[in-house]
Amino acid sequence: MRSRRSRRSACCNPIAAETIVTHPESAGVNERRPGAIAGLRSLIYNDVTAAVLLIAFCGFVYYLSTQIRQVPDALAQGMQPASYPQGVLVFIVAFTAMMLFESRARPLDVPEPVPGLAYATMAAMVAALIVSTWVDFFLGIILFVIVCVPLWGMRRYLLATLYAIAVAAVLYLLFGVFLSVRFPSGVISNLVSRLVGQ
Amino acid sequence: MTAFLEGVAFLGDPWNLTLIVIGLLIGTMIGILPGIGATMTTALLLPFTMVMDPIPALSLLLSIYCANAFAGAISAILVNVPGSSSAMVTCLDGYPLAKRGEAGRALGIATVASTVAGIFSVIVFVIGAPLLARVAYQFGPPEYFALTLFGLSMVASISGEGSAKNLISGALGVLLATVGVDYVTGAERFTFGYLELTSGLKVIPILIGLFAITELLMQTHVIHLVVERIALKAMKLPTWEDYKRTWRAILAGSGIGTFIGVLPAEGGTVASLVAYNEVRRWSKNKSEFGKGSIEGLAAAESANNSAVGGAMIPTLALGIPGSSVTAVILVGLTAQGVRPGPYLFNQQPEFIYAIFSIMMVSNVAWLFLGLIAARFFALLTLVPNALLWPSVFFLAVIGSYSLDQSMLDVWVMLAFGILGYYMRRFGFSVVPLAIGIILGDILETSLKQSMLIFKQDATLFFERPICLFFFACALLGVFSPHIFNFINRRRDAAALRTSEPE
Repeated sequence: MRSRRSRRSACCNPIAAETIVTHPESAGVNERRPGAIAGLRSLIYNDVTAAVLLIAFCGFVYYLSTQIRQVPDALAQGMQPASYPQGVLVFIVAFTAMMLFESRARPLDVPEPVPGLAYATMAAMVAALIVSTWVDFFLGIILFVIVCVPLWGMRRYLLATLYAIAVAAVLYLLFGVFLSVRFPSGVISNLVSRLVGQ
Repeated sequence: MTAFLEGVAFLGDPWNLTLIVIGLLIGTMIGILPGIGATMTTALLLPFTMVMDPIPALSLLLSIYCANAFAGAISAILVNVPGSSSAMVTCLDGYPLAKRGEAGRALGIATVASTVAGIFSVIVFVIGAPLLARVAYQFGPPEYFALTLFGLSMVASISGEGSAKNLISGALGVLLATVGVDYVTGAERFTFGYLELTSGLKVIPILIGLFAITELLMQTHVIHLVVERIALKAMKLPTWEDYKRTWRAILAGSGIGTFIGVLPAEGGTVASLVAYNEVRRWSKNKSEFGKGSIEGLAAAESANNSAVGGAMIPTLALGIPGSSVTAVILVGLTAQGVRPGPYLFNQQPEFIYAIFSIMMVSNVAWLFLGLIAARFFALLTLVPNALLWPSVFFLAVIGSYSLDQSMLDVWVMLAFGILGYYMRRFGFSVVPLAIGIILGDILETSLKQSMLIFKQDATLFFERPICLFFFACALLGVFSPHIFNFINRRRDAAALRTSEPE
């Protein structure tokens, strides 16, 4: 979801001291403030920042491409292994310039802040995969569901636990038994394997 | 004729028919649930289809694709939230109709329009795809390079914040496709010494991350959204008067949708928008549009469904995806060892007729399924997001792992999911990135082969008329959003001048 802020100036400079006018839908929430400075989010989420990040990324990848070994001309047949990715990087830089040109006439769209739920979900995903990788595959994802169901608004922990176990069981039967996928060994996986008789 | 009969005979296998029914049910359920689209569903189920033969796999994936295109209308009409992005335009007239007590009528019109358009596009597919494949026989590596470039240029007009961002996203996808061993020289590129990266990044976990995990994280922004749901008592078939009013819109939507579906990278969303605008332009009841026009509803629904058959034409005839869903299907076919392109039509023509049969059966079956069971499917809109979305992560993890039984694929899936989320926050669409990764290999291969043929003289590209044609189309694709904006601005300015009082 992105809230819209109209910008009078054609320049894409995010911190120019111009009037920032909000859209009529949010009138009354943010009034006209002459000389107001855009917040940190409009500094981050604007095309200039994106362009800087992209060019820095292209520069870094170009440096990495110079480490790709050269091959004899007879083998390269006119195109060294690094040439093609370097050509693509040139196009990305050109499109970045095009993006800055397009952004001149486009009002700055500042997205809403990242909700806490998004960060919590990301953290839960990473934690779940750490548990799945080093403890038990299914335990990690079951824990993710148990944690996220209440986080996402359904504060019924028993239901969440039962639901997580039921989904895990169905997917284990589908993939592990029916499709013969071998899941990594872990505490629960070994137990279930013994119960199922594999 | 033999190939046609062999293709249709695949339907005689009860397993294929069962998979079609399962696909219709899954596609309908997914189509009704906002946020989960056919692209995500096919990406999530792709690992599951790897153990199947190509035809059963396609039975499942194509029936999901067809049903999803239909079913997005149900939540668009009842809840004013499109079940899939291609049903966005359906909200404009479907929901107002539902609000004044005509939900059953709206759904009936949407279902019939979808079915007619779907059948139309499948017939065009079975006629048009072989013709296009015959033309593609003339293609050599230079033509394939130009065609792939054209396919990539079309990502410029996918929804997002401007064509340049889509092109950057597509180019990043092409760059990611260079990871691995260069097939000509054997040199490793961007592998950082990891053995797992020598064969390149695996596409399926990336697709799952970009389409499933990214959407899961985007849903955290709308978790508290309260939607007003209109109850559905029964679906009503259109009356004779309704048919008289909407047949032109259905015909126009079918034609426009099929044509736009054929264009690489465009899909149902663009098709429904264009068809809606066109039908409104020549309708005698312009004032009804946006307030419950059955013509507008019929145009939108017929276009987004006919784009399904249209999108299959370049996917199978040329190996260039016609939409994001067919991009995923293309990955699945390639992983199965099926090589889309003109050789497929020559060596395995029954394959094409099998796809025709699957899509025809899916379209007809959904008509009955929709009429009978729409009321029950509509209850799915009551499923809490708190149960739904954590399950998507479950499926995404298991699906990514099951491909090669490697946890690295799961971590790649998660990394791209988070990357996709921040890309969308910066206004970059993830669909071009996916298409860039899929087409990147073909682009590089055909370029290198072309340079070999041309003895490193790139100007020889311009001596081949088909290459020139596709290069011109590519330039048009890149700059068409700007051209259309310019034309629209001039038209608006002219309209403003004529409407100003003298």
